Amino acid sequence: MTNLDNVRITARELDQLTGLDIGDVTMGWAYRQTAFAPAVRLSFITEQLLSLGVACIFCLPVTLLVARAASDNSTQTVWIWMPFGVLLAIALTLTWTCYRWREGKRLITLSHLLDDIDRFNETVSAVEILEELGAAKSSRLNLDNREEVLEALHLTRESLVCGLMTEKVMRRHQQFIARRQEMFSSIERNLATLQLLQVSDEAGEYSRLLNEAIQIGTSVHQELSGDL
Amino acid sequence: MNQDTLKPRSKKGSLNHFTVLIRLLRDRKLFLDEVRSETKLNRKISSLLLASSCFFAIYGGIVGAYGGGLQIISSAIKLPALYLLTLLICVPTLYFFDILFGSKLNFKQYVTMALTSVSVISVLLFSFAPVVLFFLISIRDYNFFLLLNVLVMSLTGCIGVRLFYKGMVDMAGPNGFETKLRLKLLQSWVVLYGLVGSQLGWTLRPFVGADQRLFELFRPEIEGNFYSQVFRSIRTLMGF
Repeated sequence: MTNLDNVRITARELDQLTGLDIGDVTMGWAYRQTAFAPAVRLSFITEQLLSLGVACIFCLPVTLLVARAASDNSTQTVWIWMPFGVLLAIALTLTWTCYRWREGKRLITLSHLLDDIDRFNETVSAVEILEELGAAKSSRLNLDNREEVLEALHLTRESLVCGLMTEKVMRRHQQFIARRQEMFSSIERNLATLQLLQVSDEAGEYSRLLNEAIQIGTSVHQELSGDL
Repeated sequence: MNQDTLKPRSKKGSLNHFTVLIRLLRDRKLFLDEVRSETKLNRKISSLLLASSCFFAIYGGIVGAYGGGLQIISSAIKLPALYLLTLLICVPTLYFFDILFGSKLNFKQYVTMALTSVSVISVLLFSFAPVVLFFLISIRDYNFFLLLNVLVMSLTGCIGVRLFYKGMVDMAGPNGFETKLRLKLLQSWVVLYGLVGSQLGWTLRPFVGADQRLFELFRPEIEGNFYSQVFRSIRTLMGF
Protein backbone atom coordinates (compact mmCIF):
# COMPACT_ATOMS: atom_id res chain seq x y z
CA MET A 1 0.00 0.00 0.00
CA THR A 2 1.39 3.39 -0.96
CA ASN A 3 0.69 6.74 0.58
CA LEU A 4 -0.17 9.03 -2.29
CA ASP A 5 0.24 12.27 -0.31
CA ASN A 6 3.25 13.22 -2.39
CA VAL A 7 1.12 13.00 -5.54
CA ARG A 8 -1.68 15.16 -4.19
CA ILE A 9 -1.41 18.92 -4.85
CA THR A 10 -1.71 20.50 -1.42
CA ALA A 11 -3.33 23.81 -0.48
CA ARG A 12 0.06 25.23 0.48
CA GLU A 13 1.51 24.24 -2.90
CA LEU A 14 -1.44 25.87 -4.62
CA ASP A 15 -0.86 29.10 -2.73
CA GLN A 16 2.83 29.07 -3.62
CA LEU A 17 2.31 28.15 -7.27
CA THR A 18 -0.40 30.72 -7.89
CA GLY A 19 0.83 33.45 -5.56
CA LEU A 20 -2.78 33.76 -4.36
CA ASP A 21 -4.78 32.61 -1.37
CA ILE A 22 -6.72 29.70 -2.88
CA GLY A 23 -9.90 28.53 -1.20
CA ASP A 24 -12.73 26.18 -2.14
CA VAL A 25 -14.64 28.98 -3.84
CA THR A 26 -12.14 31.83 -3.94
CA MET A 27 -8.79 32.82 -5.50
CA GLY A 28 -7.50 35.73 -3.44
CA TRP A 29 -10.55 37.99 -3.26
CA ALA A 30 -11.84 36.73 -6.63
CA TYR A 31 -14.62 34.18 -6.94
CA ARG A 32 -13.87 30.83 -8.57
CA GLN A 33 -16.42 29.41 -11.00
CA THR A 34 -17.26 26.83 -8.32
CA ALA A 35 -18.72 29.66 -6.20
CA PHE A 36 -21.73 29.82 -8.54
CA ALA A 37 -22.29 26.06 -8.78
CA PRO A 38 -25.81 24.90 -7.79
CA ALA A 39 -24.34 22.66 -5.07
CA VAL A 40 -22.97 25.67 -3.15
CA ARG A 41 -25.77 28.12 -3.96
CA LEU A 42 -27.11 28.07 -0.41
CA SER A 43 -23.73 28.80 1.14
CA PHE A 44 -23.14 31.54 -1.47
CA ILE A 45 -26.43 33.20 -0.54
CA THR A 46 -25.63 32.80 3.18
CA GLU A 47 -22.28 34.45 2.60
CA GLN A 48 -23.90 37.33 0.73
CA LEU A 49 -26.36 37.83 3.57
CA LEU A 50 -23.54 37.76 6.11
CA SER A 51 -21.63 40.32 4.02
CA LEU A 52 -24.74 42.50 3.90
CA GLY A 53 -25.02 42.19 7.67
CA VAL A 54 -21.41 43.31 8.13
CA ALA A 55 -21.97 46.19 5.68
CA CYS A 56 -25.04 47.23 7.72
CA ILE A 57 -22.95 47.09 10.90
CA PHE A 58 -20.54 49.61 9.38
CA CYS A 59 -22.89 51.77 7.31
CA LEU A 60 -26.01 52.11 9.47
CA PRO A 61 -24.50 53.49 12.70
CA VAL A 62 -22.10 55.77 10.81
CA THR A 63 -24.89 57.18 8.60
CA LEU A 64 -27.17 57.70 11.59
CA LEU A 65 -24.44 59.30 13.70
CA VAL A 66 -23.56 61.68 10.86
CA ALA A 67 -27.26 62.50 10.35
CA ARG A 68 -27.62 63.12 14.08
CA ALA A 69 -24.61 65.42 14.18
CA ALA A 70 -25.69 67.28 11.00
CA SER A 71 -29.28 67.77 12.17
CA ASP A 72 -28.37 69.08 15.62
CA ASN A 73 -29.57 65.95 17.41
CA SER A 74 -32.97 65.67 15.74
CA THR A 75 -34.52 62.21 16.28
CA GLN A 76 -36.81 62.58 13.26
CA THR A 77 -33.92 63.26 10.89
CA VAL A 78 -32.09 60.22 12.23
CA TRP A 79 -35.09 58.00 11.39
CA ILE A 80 -35.41 59.59 7.92
CA TRP A 81 -31.76 58.77 7.17
CA MET A 82 -32.09 55.12 8.14
CA PRO A 83 -33.12 53.88 4.63
CA PHE A 84 -30.08 55.68 3.20
CA GLY A 85 -27.86 53.71 5.58
CA VAL A 86 -29.47 50.44 4.47
CA LEU A 87 -29.16 51.44 0.79
CA LEU A 88 -25.52 52.31 1.32
CA ALA A 89 -24.93 48.88 2.88
CA ILE A 90 -26.69 47.14 -0.04
CA ALA A 91 -24.71 49.19 -2.57
CA LEU A 92 -21.46 48.38 -0.77
CA THR A 93 -22.24 44.64 -0.72
CA LEU A 94 -23.23 44.64 -4.40
CA THR A 95 -20.10 46.56 -5.40
CA TRP A 96 -17.92 44.18 -3.43
CA THR A 97 -19.60 41.09 -4.95
CA CYS A 98 -19.35 42.55 -8.48
CA TYR A 99 -15.68 43.33 -7.94
CA ARG A 100 -15.01 39.75 -6.81
CA TRP A 101 -17.03 38.36 -9.73
CA ARG A 102 -15.15 40.53 -12.25
CA GLU A 103 -11.82 39.51 -10.76
CA GLY A 104 -12.99 35.91 -11.10
CA LYS A 105 -13.73 36.50 -14.80
CA ARG A 106 -10.25 37.91 -15.23
CA LEU A 107 -8.78 34.78 -13.65
CA ILE A 108 -11.01 32.34 -15.55
CA THR A 109 -8.05 30.23 -16.77
CA LEU A 110 -6.80 29.80 -13.22
CA SER A 111 -10.31 28.95 -12.09
CA HIS A 112 -10.54 26.12 -14.66
CA LEU A 113 -7.08 24.88 -13.68
CA LEU A 114 -8.10 24.82 -10.02
CA ASP A 115 -11.23 22.83 -10.88
CA ASP A 116 -9.00 20.33 -12.70
CA ILE A 117 -6.74 20.15 -9.65
CA ASP A 118 -9.74 19.50 -7.41
CA ARG A 119 -10.78 16.64 -9.70
CA PHE A 120 -7.20 15.35 -9.77
CA ASN A 121 -6.99 15.33 -5.95
CA GLU A 122 -10.29 13.49 -5.79
CA THR A 123 -8.95 10.90 -8.23
CA VAL A 124 -5.87 10.45 -6.04
CA SER A 125 -8.14 9.91 -3.04
CA ALA A 126 -10.15 7.36 -5.03
CA VAL A 127 -6.96 5.46 -5.95
CA GLU A 128 -5.92 5.52 -2.29
CA ILE A 129 -9.24 4.06 -1.22
CA LEU A 130 -9.03 1.37 -3.90
CA GLU A 131 -5.56 0.43 -2.68
CA GLU A 132 -6.81 0.19 0.88
CA LEU A 133 -9.70 -2.01 -0.27
CA GLY A 134 -7.28 -4.10 -2.30
CA ALA A 135 -5.16 -4.65 0.81
CA ALA A 136 -8.13 -6.37 2.47
CA LYS A 137 -7.90 -10.00 1.37
CA SER A 138 -11.63 -10.52 1.13
CA SER A 139 -12.02 -7.63 -1.27
CA ARG A 140 -12.39 -8.36 -4.97
CA LEU A 141 -11.54 -4.77 -5.83
CA ASN A 142 -8.00 -4.17 -6.98
CA LEU A 143 -5.97 -2.00 -9.30
CA ASP A 144 -4.75 -4.23 -12.12
CA ASN A 145 -2.45 -1.71 -13.74
CA ARG A 146 -1.20 0.06 -10.61
CA GLU A 147 2.14 1.23 -12.01
CA GLU A 148 0.51 2.74 -15.06
CA VAL A 149 -2.08 4.50 -12.94
CA LEU A 150 0.62 5.96 -10.68
CA GLU A 151 2.66 7.10 -13.67
CA ALA A 152 -0.41 8.70 -15.19
CA LEU A 153 -1.10 10.48 -11.90
CA HIS A 154 2.48 11.75 -11.72
CA LEU A 155 2.34 12.97 -15.32
CA THR A 156 -1.00 14.68 -14.73
CA ARG A 157 0.38 16.31 -11.62
CA GLU A 158 3.38 17.63 -13.53
CA SER A 159 1.15 19.00 -16.28
CA LEU A 160 -1.11 20.72 -13.77
CA VAL A 161 1.81 22.25 -11.87
CA CYS A 162 3.31 23.38 -15.18
CA GLY A 163 -0.06 24.86 -16.16
CA LEU A 164 -0.29 26.79 -12.87
CA MET A 165 3.24 28.15 -13.25
CA THR A 166 2.57 29.25 -16.85
CA GLU A 167 -0.68 30.90 -15.80
CA LYS A 168 1.12 32.77 -13.03
CA VAL A 169 3.77 34.06 -15.46
CA MET A 170 1.11 35.09 -17.98
CA ARG A 171 -0.91 36.81 -15.23
CA ARG A 172 2.09 38.67 -13.87
CA HIS A 173 2.98 39.94 -17.35
CA GLN A 174 -0.55 40.46 -18.56
CA GLN A 175 -0.01 44.17 -19.11
CA PHE A 176 3.07 43.46 -21.17
CA ILE A 177 1.28 40.83 -23.25
CA ALA A 178 -1.68 43.17 -23.73
CA ARG A 179 0.71 45.61 -25.39
CA ARG A 180 1.95 42.99 -27.91
CA GLN A 181 0.94 45.05 -30.97
CA GLU A 182 3.01 47.92 -29.70
CA MET A 183 5.84 45.48 -28.91
CA PHE A 184 5.80 43.95 -32.41
CA SER A 185 5.83 47.31 -34.13
CA SER A 186 8.72 48.38 -31.90
CA ILE A 187 10.72 45.24 -32.80
CA GLU A 188 9.99 45.69 -36.50
CA ARG A 189 11.02 49.34 -36.34
CA ASN A 190 14.28 48.39 -34.64
CA LEU A 191 14.92 45.66 -37.20
CA ALA A 192 14.38 48.09 -40.05
CA THR A 193 16.84 50.52 -38.45
CA LEU A 194 19.40 47.74 -38.01
CA GLN A 195 19.04 46.62 -41.63
CA LEU A 196 19.46 50.21 -42.80
CA LEU A 197 22.64 50.47 -40.73
CA GLN A 198 23.92 47.23 -42.33
CA VAL A 199 23.55 48.68 -45.81
CA SER A 200 25.49 51.81 -44.89
CA ASP A 201 28.25 49.92 -43.07
CA GLU A 202 29.08 46.64 -44.85
CA ALA A 203 32.62 45.90 -43.73
CA GLY A 204 34.54 45.23 -40.54
CA GLU A 205 33.84 44.08 -36.97
CA TYR A 206 30.96 46.51 -36.54
CA SER A 207 29.15 44.89 -39.47
CA ARG A 208 29.59 41.42 -37.95
CA LEU A 209 28.12 42.56 -34.64
CA LEU A 210 25.31 44.24 -36.49
CA ASN A 211 24.55 41.00 -38.37
CA GLU A 212 24.38 39.09 -35.09
CA ALA A 213 22.05 41.71 -33.67
CA ILE A 214 19.78 41.37 -36.71
CA GLN A 215 19.76 37.58 -36.39
CA ILE A 216 18.87 37.79 -32.68
CA GLY A 217 16.20 40.36 -33.42
CA THR A 218 14.72 38.23 -36.21
CA SER A 219 14.64 35.07 -34.08
CA VAL A 220 13.00 36.93 -31.19
CA HIS A 221 10.43 38.27 -33.61
CA GLN A 222 9.78 34.79 -35.02
CA GLU A 223 9.50 33.23 -31.54
CA LEU A 224 7.05 35.86 -30.36
CA SER A 225 4.99 35.65 -33.54
CA GLY A 226 4.84 31.88 -33.16
CA ASP A 227 3.85 31.98 -29.46
CA LEU A 228 1.19 34.64 -29.58
CA MET B 1 -15.16 1.47 -8.35
CA ASN B 2 -17.37 3.34 -5.93
CA GLN B 3 -18.52 6.37 -7.88
CA ASP B 4 -19.14 8.35 -4.69
CA THR B 5 -15.41 8.72 -4.20
CA LEU B 6 -15.18 10.56 -7.51
CA LYS B 7 -17.79 13.15 -6.64
CA PRO B 8 -16.54 16.67 -5.94
CA ARG B 9 -16.02 17.19 -2.23
CA SER B 10 -18.61 19.29 -0.47
CA LYS B 11 -17.87 23.00 -0.27
CA LYS B 12 -18.56 24.29 3.20
CA GLY B 13 -18.67 27.95 2.21
CA SER B 14 -19.64 30.23 5.06
CA LEU B 15 -19.02 27.54 7.69
CA ASN B 16 -15.31 27.89 6.89
CA HIS B 17 -15.37 31.36 8.44
CA PHE B 18 -16.02 29.86 11.84
CA THR B 19 -13.36 27.21 11.27
CA VAL B 20 -10.76 29.98 10.98
CA LEU B 21 -11.86 31.35 14.34
CA ILE B 22 -11.79 27.91 15.96
CA ARG B 23 -8.26 27.41 14.58
CA LEU B 24 -7.23 30.71 16.14
CA LEU B 25 -8.58 29.64 19.52
CA ARG B 26 -7.10 26.14 19.35
CA ASP B 27 -3.60 26.96 18.14
CA ARG B 28 -2.84 30.63 18.58
CA LYS B 29 0.90 30.17 18.03
CA LEU B 30 0.42 28.54 14.62
CA PHE B 31 -2.11 31.21 13.71
CA LEU B 32 0.36 33.98 14.59
CA ASP B 33 3.09 32.20 12.62
CA GLU B 34 0.79 32.22 9.61
CA VAL B 35 0.07 35.93 10.07
CA ARG B 36 3.82 36.55 10.31
CA SER B 37 4.44 34.64 7.07
CA GLU B 38 1.41 36.35 5.45
CA THR B 39 -0.32 33.02 4.82
CA LYS B 40 -3.94 33.35 3.68
CA LEU B 41 -4.40 36.81 5.20
CA ASN B 42 -7.36 37.69 2.95
CA ARG B 43 -9.31 34.69 4.14
CA LYS B 44 -8.34 35.31 7.75
CA ILE B 45 -9.53 38.93 7.56
CA SER B 46 -12.88 38.11 5.95
CA SER B 47 -13.51 35.10 8.18
CA LEU B 48 -12.65 36.87 11.43
CA LEU B 49 -14.76 39.85 10.41
CA LEU B 50 -17.81 37.74 9.61
CA ALA B 51 -17.49 35.36 12.55
CA SER B 52 -16.86 38.08 15.13
CA SER B 53 -19.77 40.15 13.74
CA CYS B 54 -22.09 37.15 14.25
CA PHE B 55 -20.98 36.56 17.84
CA PHE B 56 -21.20 40.26 18.73
CA ALA B 57 -24.64 40.47 17.13
CA ILE B 58 -25.90 37.53 19.20
CA TYR B 59 -24.55 39.02 22.43
CA GLY B 60 -25.90 42.44 21.43
CA GLY B 61 -29.31 40.89 20.85
CA ILE B 62 -29.27 39.37 24.33
CA VAL B 63 -28.25 42.71 25.89
CA GLY B 64 -31.01 44.46 23.93
CA ALA B 65 -33.52 41.87 25.12
CA TYR B 66 -33.71 43.80 28.41
CA GLY B 67 -35.44 46.65 26.52
CA GLY B 68 -37.20 44.19 24.18
CA GLY B 69 -38.69 44.77 20.71
CA LEU B 70 -36.69 47.05 18.44
CA GLN B 71 -33.95 47.38 21.05
CA ILE B 72 -32.92 43.77 20.30
CA ILE B 73 -32.30 44.56 16.61
CA SER B 74 -30.72 47.91 17.44
CA SER B 75 -28.26 46.40 19.93
CA ALA B 76 -27.51 43.47 17.61
CA ILE B 77 -26.24 46.02 15.07
CA LYS B 78 -24.72 48.54 17.50
CA LEU B 79 -22.59 46.15 19.56
CA PRO B 80 -20.61 44.76 16.58
CA ALA B 81 -20.41 48.34 15.26
CA LEU B 82 -18.93 49.47 18.57
CA TYR B 83 -16.05 47.00 18.41
CA LEU B 84 -15.44 47.06 14.65
CA LEU B 85 -15.68 50.83 14.24
CA THR B 86 -13.30 51.30 17.17
CA LEU B 87 -10.90 49.06 15.29
CA LEU B 88 -11.39 50.98 12.07
CA ILE B 89 -10.69 54.25 13.87
CA CYS B 90 -7.63 53.04 15.76
CA VAL B 91 -5.74 50.67 13.42
CA PRO B 92 -4.35 53.37 11.06
CA THR B 93 -2.87 55.18 14.08
CA LEU B 94 -1.06 52.04 15.21
CA TYR B 95 0.11 51.17 11.70
CA PHE B 96 1.57 54.54 10.75
CA PHE B 97 3.20 55.18 14.14
CA ASP B 98 4.62 51.66 14.27
CA ILE B 99 6.15 51.72 10.78
CA LEU B 100 7.59 55.12 11.62
CA PHE B 101 9.47 53.48 14.50
CA GLY B 102 10.80 50.51 12.52
CA SER B 103 8.01 47.94 12.14
CA LYS B 104 8.36 45.60 9.15
CA LEU B 105 4.75 44.37 9.21
CA ASN B 106 2.31 45.41 6.51
CA PHE B 107 -1.17 46.89 6.91
CA LYS B 108 -2.94 43.57 6.27
CA GLN B 109 -0.97 41.98 9.10
CA TYR B 110 -1.99 44.79 11.48
CA VAL B 111 -5.64 44.44 10.45
CA THR B 112 -5.47 40.66 10.96
CA MET B 113 -3.87 41.06 14.37
CA ALA B 114 -6.45 43.62 15.46
CA LEU B 115 -9.27 41.41 14.17
CA THR B 116 -7.75 38.50 16.05
CA SER B 117 -8.13 40.45 19.29
CA VAL B 118 -11.69 41.52 18.45
CA SER B 119 -12.60 37.96 17.50
CA VAL B 120 -11.33 36.62 20.82
CA ILE B 121 -13.43 39.28 22.59
CA SER B 122 -16.48 38.26 20.55
CA VAL B 123 -16.07 34.57 21.40
CA LEU B 124 -15.60 35.39 25.09
CA LEU B 125 -18.71 37.58 25.07
CA PHE B 126 -20.60 34.77 23.35
CA SER B 127 -19.44 32.38 26.05
CA PHE B 128 -20.86 34.77 28.68
CA ALA B 129 -24.20 34.96 26.84
CA PRO B 130 -25.93 32.18 28.86
CA VAL B 131 -24.85 33.84 32.14
CA VAL B 132 -26.15 37.24 31.03
CA LEU B 133 -29.35 35.62 29.76
CA PHE B 134 -29.81 33.94 33.13
CA PHE B 135 -29.48 37.25 35.01
CA LEU B 136 -31.74 38.93 32.46
CA ILE B 137 -34.48 36.44 33.23
CA SER B 138 -33.97 36.23 37.00
CA ILE B 139 -33.26 39.87 38.03
CA ARG B 140 -35.13 42.87 36.66
CA ASP B 141 -32.85 45.73 37.69
CA TYR B 142 -31.57 48.17 35.07
CA ASN B 143 -28.46 49.31 36.97
CA PHE B 144 -27.49 45.77 37.90
CA PHE B 145 -27.88 44.57 34.28
CA LEU B 146 -25.95 47.60 33.01
CA LEU B 147 -23.08 47.04 35.44
CA LEU B 148 -23.07 43.30 34.76
CA ASN B 149 -22.56 44.02 31.07
CA VAL B 150 -19.92 46.63 31.78
CA LEU B 151 -18.12 44.05 33.91
CA VAL B 152 -18.38 41.31 31.25
CA MET B 153 -17.26 43.66 28.48
CA SER B 154 -14.37 45.03 30.57
CA LEU B 155 -13.19 41.54 31.44
CA THR B 156 -13.39 40.21 27.88
CA GLY B 157 -11.93 43.45 26.52
CA CYS B 158 -8.94 43.22 28.88
CA ILE B 159 -8.27 39.60 27.87
CA GLY B 160 -8.63 40.40 24.16
CA VAL B 161 -6.37 43.44 24.31
CA ARG B 162 -3.81 41.57 26.42
CA LEU B 163 -3.71 38.78 23.82
CA PHE B 164 -3.31 41.40 21.09
CA TYR B 165 -0.45 43.05 22.98
CA LYS B 166 1.31 39.71 23.52
CA GLY B 167 0.68 38.74 19.92
CA MET B 168 2.20 41.96 18.61
CA VAL B 169 5.27 41.52 20.82
CA ASP B 170 5.60 37.90 19.57
CA MET B 171 5.17 38.99 15.97
CA ALA B 172 7.92 41.58 16.28
CA GLY B 173 10.34 38.87 17.48
CA PRO B 174 13.02 39.11 20.20
CA ASN B 175 14.68 42.18 18.67
CA GLY B 176 11.51 43.74 17.34
CA PHE B 177 11.02 46.08 20.28
CA GLU B 178 14.66 47.00 20.86
CA THR B 179 13.64 50.63 21.19
CA LYS B 180 11.59 51.21 24.33
CA LEU B 181 9.69 53.89 22.48
CA ARG B 182 8.00 51.33 20.22
CA LEU B 183 6.83 49.26 23.15
CA LYS B 184 5.52 52.41 24.86
CA LEU B 185 3.76 53.27 21.61
CA LEU B 186 1.98 49.91 21.58
CA GLN B 187 0.97 50.34 25.23
CA SER B 188 -0.33 53.84 24.51
CA TRP B 189 -2.30 52.49 21.57
CA VAL B 190 -3.97 49.93 23.80
CA VAL B 191 -5.05 52.77 26.13
CA LEU B 192 -6.22 54.80 23.13
CA TYR B 193 -8.23 51.80 21.88
CA GLY B 194 -9.96 51.57 25.27
CA LEU B 195 -10.72 55.28 25.35
CA VAL B 196 -12.08 55.42 21.80
CA GLY B 197 -14.13 52.28 22.46
CA SER B 198 -15.70 53.60 25.61
CA GLN B 199 -16.51 56.97 24.04
CA LEU B 200 -18.00 55.32 20.95
CA GLY B 201 -20.04 53.12 23.26
CA TRP B 202 -21.32 56.25 24.98
CA THR B 203 -22.18 57.84 21.60
CA LEU B 204 -23.99 54.73 20.33
CA ARG B 205 -25.99 54.14 23.53
CA PRO B 206 -28.53 52.83 24.51
CA PHE B 207 -27.56 49.17 24.27
CA VAL B 208 -29.72 47.97 27.13
CA GLY B 209 -32.77 50.21 26.96
CA ALA B 210 -33.84 51.75 30.26
CA ASP B 211 -37.06 50.93 32.07
CA GLN B 212 -40.04 53.20 31.45
CA ARG B 213 -38.47 54.75 28.37
CA LEU B 214 -39.65 54.35 24.81
CA PHE B 215 -37.30 52.86 22.23
CA GLU B 216 -34.61 55.30 21.10
CA LEU B 217 -32.02 54.79 18.39
CA PHE B 218 -29.65 57.11 20.24
CA ARG B 219 -30.02 58.92 23.54
CA PRO B 220 -30.79 62.61 22.98
CA GLU B 221 -28.35 63.70 25.70
CA ILE B 222 -24.90 63.95 24.11
CA GLU B 223 -23.14 65.46 27.14
CA GLY B 224 -21.52 63.29 29.82
CA ASN B 225 -19.30 60.28 29.34
CA PHE B 226 -19.13 56.56 29.84
CA TYR B 227 -17.16 56.67 33.10
CA SER B 228 -19.46 59.13 34.87
CA GLN B 229 -22.47 56.98 33.90
CA VAL B 230 -20.80 53.84 35.33
CA PHE B 231 -20.04 55.77 38.53
CA ARG B 232 -23.68 56.96 38.72
CA SER B 233 -24.97 53.39 38.23
CA ILE B 234 -22.72 52.06 41.01
CA ARG B 235 -23.96 54.83 43.37
CA THR B 236 -27.61 54.05 42.52
CA LEU B 237 -27.08 50.32 42.98
CA MET B 238 -25.43 50.88 46.36
CA GLY B 239 -28.30 53.15 47.38
CA PHE B 240 -26.34 56.40 47.73
